[in-house]
Amino acid sequence: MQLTTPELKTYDTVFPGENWFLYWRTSPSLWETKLREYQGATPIFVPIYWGLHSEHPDQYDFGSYRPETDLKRLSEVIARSGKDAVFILPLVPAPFLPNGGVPSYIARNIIISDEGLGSAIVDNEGRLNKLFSYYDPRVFQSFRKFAWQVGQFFSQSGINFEVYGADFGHLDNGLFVSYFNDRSVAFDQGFHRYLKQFEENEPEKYQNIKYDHTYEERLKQDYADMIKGLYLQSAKESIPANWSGNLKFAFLGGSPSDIFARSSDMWEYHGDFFEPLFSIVVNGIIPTSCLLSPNMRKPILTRALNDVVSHSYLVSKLDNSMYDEDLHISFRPMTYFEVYLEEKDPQNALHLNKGGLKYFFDRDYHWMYRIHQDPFKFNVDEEESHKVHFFFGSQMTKEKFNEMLKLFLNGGKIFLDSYELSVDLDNKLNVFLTENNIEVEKINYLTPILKAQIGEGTLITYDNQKLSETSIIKKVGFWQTMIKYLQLKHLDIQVDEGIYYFWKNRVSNTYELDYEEIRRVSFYNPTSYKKKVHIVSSKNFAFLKSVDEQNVNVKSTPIGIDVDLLPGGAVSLDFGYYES
Amino acid sequence: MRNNLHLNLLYNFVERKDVNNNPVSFYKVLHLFSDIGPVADNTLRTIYHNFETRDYFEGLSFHNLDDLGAFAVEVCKDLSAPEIFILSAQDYNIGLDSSSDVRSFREIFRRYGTAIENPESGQKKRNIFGKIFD
Repeated sequence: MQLTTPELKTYDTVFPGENWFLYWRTSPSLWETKLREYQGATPIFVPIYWGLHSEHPDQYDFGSYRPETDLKRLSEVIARSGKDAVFILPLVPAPFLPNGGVPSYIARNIIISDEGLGSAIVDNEGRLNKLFSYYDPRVFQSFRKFAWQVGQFFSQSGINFEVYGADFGHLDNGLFVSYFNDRSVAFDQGFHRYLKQFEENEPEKYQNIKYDHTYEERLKQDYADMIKGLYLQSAKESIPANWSGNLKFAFLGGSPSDIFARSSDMWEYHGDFFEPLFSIVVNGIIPTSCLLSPNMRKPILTRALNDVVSHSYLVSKLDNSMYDEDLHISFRPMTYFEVYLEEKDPQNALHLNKGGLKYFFDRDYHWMYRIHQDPFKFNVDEEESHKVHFFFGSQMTKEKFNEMLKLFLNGGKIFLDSYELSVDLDNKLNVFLTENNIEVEKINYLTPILKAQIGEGTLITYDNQKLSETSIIKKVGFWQTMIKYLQLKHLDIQVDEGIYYFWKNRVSNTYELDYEEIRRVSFYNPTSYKKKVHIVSSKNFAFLKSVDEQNVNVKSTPIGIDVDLLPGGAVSLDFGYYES
Repeated sequence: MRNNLHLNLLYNFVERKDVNNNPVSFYKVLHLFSDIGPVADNTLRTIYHNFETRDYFEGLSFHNLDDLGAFAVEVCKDLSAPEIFILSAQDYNIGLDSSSDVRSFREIFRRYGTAIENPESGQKKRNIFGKIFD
């Protein structure tokens, strides 16, 4: 006899976030049912839990003793369920696992942040998962053995699912921060050994530490990259037949400083996750809400997650041609601005902020800029005419400079911060412009500006340092003028505070040949109040339809589109873009 | 943020080299918050403005713990918070080590921190009782 109305179960701990299947959280007898019931985006990600498969040193269990560790059975069940899945092998601490996934017998040194704080992440059930250092040589030795055991087991069991290595992290000011980052004793000891070796091998370069206060930091980054590379190499070599690449994942609520908000019911608010979600997606990283409690999974946030973490987005990240079909007609996050930074430069945030660039983006083109920290390589196939590219002189190498010029010659729109551009490269730029008879215009507007144009290509140099000396209003005015000059075709959107929106685009299909492309903007109202949105009409855009209306009222008028969003309201609007 | 919630201040002792490669050290405020969120930057900056600082310091930083404590009291007064718990990064890490969930984490500041009462809050209480009993 049941006395109360049964509560509808909408949250499943086995699938705590989107497509993540945590097989150890349920009985193996339920694996098939759970997988068959799953209706979300695929491929399903199945993380391999190191600490589960190796509870004691040099002992590994893949189903010999405990059924929940049986990866052969799991892969058979996945195959029977007909779902597409890939295995994920964490190469850094995993925040959704106790001890970050590291077996307890080697969880010795808790990771220490740059601020000197121990790293612990709140998981979806309110547990504190402490993250342990991967710089401890014992951890690396154990990982290497474990990866080898996984490889052997997969090969002997005939498991042919793909395996991806995973770099887990979070976003800080738009920049990806890996959980591999660490300043613990284990890191310091390793770095000390590295430094000693560096002093022996390169005594002249070592002297820089005495004169340049940033040099040691750069060496620390080199050391961190080297160790991270060892984990990747070890995993790759251990599982060669199944190895398919390395993926980056960013966790909502996964910043170590989120612990303060997430440990207080009065502070944590589901609306706070929209901003990081959109930032993660535009930066080409896979977002996951694995850490969020059922309480935070309001329908509006779940909808935004489903909208952006789609099948097409996931497969575009897998870097595998077998998944490529139909990708070109799917909506993908739309960006106007591509900012190229160096992964190792501690000054990255300064470059973005001092000239007001990030402030301007966040104000006028929120979630429409991507920050790249990988080496820039020009690819003619990836170039889109509406994009604007930003480079910083102090980070410019000869190779990067040459790639930038290729981009310019192929019609790219480029801003180059000339501050601290080396004399060599500055001369090279002048010679390049003269030799190619490229028309150059020089003006002074808050900073000396040089504008060069060839065909569709535009190159504008400015001095970020000079710009930093002006007020924020002037900085914004500067960027507005510069971007206006480039004549970007964009719809002006006016939204009430608390509304989040996100742009995607796709090529037009055979029924939409009047348009160059289709752009979709999705609005979300996580607040408890009715909010308004106005989209100003523009001659290059035709309103096509509204999609998935939920607690909204959409009205089209000659001057634009008016949208009333009730609490929890959401809607997507499609526009056809055409050249006038 | 004006409320009756207590505040938490987390700080660290920083030793590093300045732009001229000279060693510098100071106490730096890492987080200052209550149960409903961080204390607004504007509030902190306004109060911090009255404290002596040096060029090479970053964020909210102090020469010594006395100054940091005095700053904490001023923030407490400004926000009418009854008390503030001050905790160093080292003590935070000790507390974190013994915490396994959010419930035990919430207790770290109270258990391991130094509590400083808002002197004005005590004054007000006395005044109220004074009014009743006088």
